[in-house]
Amino acid sequence: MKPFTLRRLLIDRRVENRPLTRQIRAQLADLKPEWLEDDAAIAHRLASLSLTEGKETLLITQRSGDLVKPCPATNAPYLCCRYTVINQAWQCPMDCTYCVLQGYLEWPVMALFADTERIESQIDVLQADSPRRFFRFGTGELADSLALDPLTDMAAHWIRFFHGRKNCLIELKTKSDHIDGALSAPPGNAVLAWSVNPPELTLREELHTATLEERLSAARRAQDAGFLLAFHFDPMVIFPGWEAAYQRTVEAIFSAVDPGRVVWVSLGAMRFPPALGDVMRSRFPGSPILNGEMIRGIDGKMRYIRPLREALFRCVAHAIRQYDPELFLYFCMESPWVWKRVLGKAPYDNAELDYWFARSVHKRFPELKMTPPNPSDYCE
Amino acid sequence: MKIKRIAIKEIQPDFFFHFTTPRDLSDLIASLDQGGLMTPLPVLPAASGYRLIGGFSRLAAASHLQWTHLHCRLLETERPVSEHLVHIVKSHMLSRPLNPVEQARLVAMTDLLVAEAALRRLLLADLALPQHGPRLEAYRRLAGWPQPVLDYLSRTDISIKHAAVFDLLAPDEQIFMAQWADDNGVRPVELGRIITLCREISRRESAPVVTVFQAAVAASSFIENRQQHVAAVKKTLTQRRFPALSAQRDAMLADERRLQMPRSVTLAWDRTLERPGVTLEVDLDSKQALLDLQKWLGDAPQISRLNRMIER
Repeated sequence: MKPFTLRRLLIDRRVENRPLTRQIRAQLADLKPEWLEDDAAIAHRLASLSLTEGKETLLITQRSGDLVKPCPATNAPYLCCRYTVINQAWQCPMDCTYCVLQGYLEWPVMALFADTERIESQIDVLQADSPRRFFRFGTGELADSLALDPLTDMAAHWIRFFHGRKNCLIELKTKSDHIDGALSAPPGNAVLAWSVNPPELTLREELHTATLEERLSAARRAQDAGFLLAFHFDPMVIFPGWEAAYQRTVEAIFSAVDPGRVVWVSLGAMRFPPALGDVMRSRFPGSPILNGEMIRGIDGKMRYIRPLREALFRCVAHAIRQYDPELFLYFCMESPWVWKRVLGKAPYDNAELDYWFARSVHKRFPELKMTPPNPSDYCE
Repeated sequence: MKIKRIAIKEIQPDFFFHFTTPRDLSDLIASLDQGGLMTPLPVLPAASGYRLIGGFSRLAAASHLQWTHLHCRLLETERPVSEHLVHIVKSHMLSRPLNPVEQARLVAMTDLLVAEAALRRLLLADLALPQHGPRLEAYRRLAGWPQPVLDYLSRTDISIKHAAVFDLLAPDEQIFMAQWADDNGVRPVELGRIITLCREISRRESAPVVTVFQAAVAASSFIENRQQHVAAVKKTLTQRRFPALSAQRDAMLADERRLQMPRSVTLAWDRTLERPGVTLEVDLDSKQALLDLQKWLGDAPQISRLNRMIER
C-alpha cells in the first residue's frame, strides 16, 4: 500500500495536551500545525477546503455528545445488525469512489476526536446497562479503523482497552494493511476485519487502498498472531464478469486464512442516498459504478433491483459455504425477503439478528467465555 | 406621473424589455374593444417618438384593432431605466405569476441593467429569487438556452427544477428534444424523465445522448398515434436502461394477463420488484363470488402462474 500524503495538520487548542494529540505531533514533527482556538475558528477554516484537499488534512479536536452509539442503520423493512459504533475518527485518507462519507459528514477533512477517556466511559456505561448482552463495537463506521494507525497508534489502545472485557468484541475494519500497531497488542477480544472486493474493482474504485493481495497477506499475519478475523463484501458491485471475480475473491480469502477463525462475513450490495450520486459523478465522472440497474428502495436509498442483489449474494454465499457451512453470514441493510430467498431464513427484527450474532460467536468461539446468550436480553 | 395620448406610429417597442411569453391575444383584443385601454402604456421619450418598455401585448392588440392613438404614461428620462423596469415587473406580477422562462429573462436583464445593489436586491426579491447561489445560476443558464427550447418551456407550466434537466444537454440536443416533445405533446416533466434515461444510457454505453434518443424515436416512428408513440419511446429507453428489471416486469405482466381472475379479485405487485410476491384483494359480495374464487384457486394452471409470480 502506498503511503498517503498529509499536507495540513489542524489542531484545536483545547486538545493540545491530550495524549492522542501529543502522539500525532510526535509522529508529524515536520508538519507545522495550524492552531484553531474554538468551534467557530474550525468551521471557518474548514469552509475553504474541498473534499479532495480534506483527504490531505488532519484535524485533531473534541466533540460533544455521544461518540459511542448504535449504528444509524436504515429504515424498515431493511434489517440491520445493531452494531455499536465508536466514532473517534471521521473520514480516511483513502478515496473510494462509492464512499458514502463523501456526502454524509459535515466536515471535508479527516478528523480525530482526542477525548478518548470520554469514549471509554461511554463504553463502560453501555455495557453496564446491558451486562448480559453481547456487544460488537467497531471503529470503522465513519472512518477506516487502521488507515491512520501508524500515526495514531489507537488500534493497540482499543485492543488493550477491550482485552479481558466480558461479552464484547472490538472490530477494527480496514482497507489497509496497517496492522503492525494492532499486532503489538495481545489479541484478546479483537477482530481484525477487511472490506473486500474483487481486484478489478479495488483497482478502479478503491483508490489509495491496499490491494486484495496486501489485505489478505495482512489478514494471514493477524490470524497467525491469534486474532479473530472478519470480512465484509460491502459494497458489492455488478460489473462485467462479476460472478467469476467474486468467486475468485472468496477462493483467495480462504486460501489465505482459516474459515474457522473468521467470526463473521457481511454481504451488502451497493446502495447510497440519491444525493450522493451527484457527488460521486462530480468527483469521479469516469466511474461506471452508478450505471447499474438501480431503483429507489423502500428506505429511499438507491440500490440494485432485488433479483440482481439476490444473484450477487447467492453467488458469494454459495462460494463461502463451500469452505465452512457454519461461518456466520449476514446482510447489511437487506430486506427480510432477500434474507429468506438467499439464506433460507430471516431474523424477525434487528434485535433477533443481534441475538443471532451472539449465538454464533458463543457457539463457535467458546474461548471468549461469553455469557450464554438469551433472546430476552436482546429485546428492544 | 404624466399621461399623454400618443399616436401609435410614434411608439417604438424596445424588445430588449419584452420578457413576457408571447400569448394568444384574442381575449385581450376583445377586452380592449369592449372596455378600452384601462392602464396607460409605459413609454420613455426618445430622440424621435417614444420607446415602449412595457405593454407589448396591449400595443399589438391596439394595432390589431387599428387604433391610431393610445394613452401612455411618460416615464422620467432622468431616472435610470432599471427603476422603470422594477415598476413594470411589479405591475406584471400583480396580474399573474411569471413563468421560469420569464423569470430567467428578467434575471439576464437585471445582470445587464441593474448595477445598483439595492435595486437589484429589490428586483430579485420581487421575483422571489435568491440573491445568489445555484438556483439563481440555474435561471441564468436557462436564459441562454436556444429559442425553440424556451418557446417549448414557455408553453408549459414547468418549474425551474424540472427545466434544469435540459442543463444536461448540448444546445443541438436541447433543440432536437424540445421540438420532438412539442410535436408530440410531451410535457416537460415527462420529457425530463426521458432525458434522464437517455443520459444514463449514454453514460453506460458511451454514446451521445441524442443518438440514444434518436434510436428510440426511430424504433417507434411507425406508430402514428402521438401518445402511443411517446409511450413506445419511453418503453424502448426503459428496456435499454433497465434490461433485467424490464424482463422481469414483462414476465410478471405476461403471467398476470393469463391469470383469468374472477371479478371479486384484484391483484397488485410492486413494479420495482423490491417487495416480491403479489397482493390479492378479495371482495366477496355474493355466494357466487365465493364459488368463483374457490374454482379459481382450485385451477392448477392458475396457481402455477401465481406461484411463478411469487417466486420472481
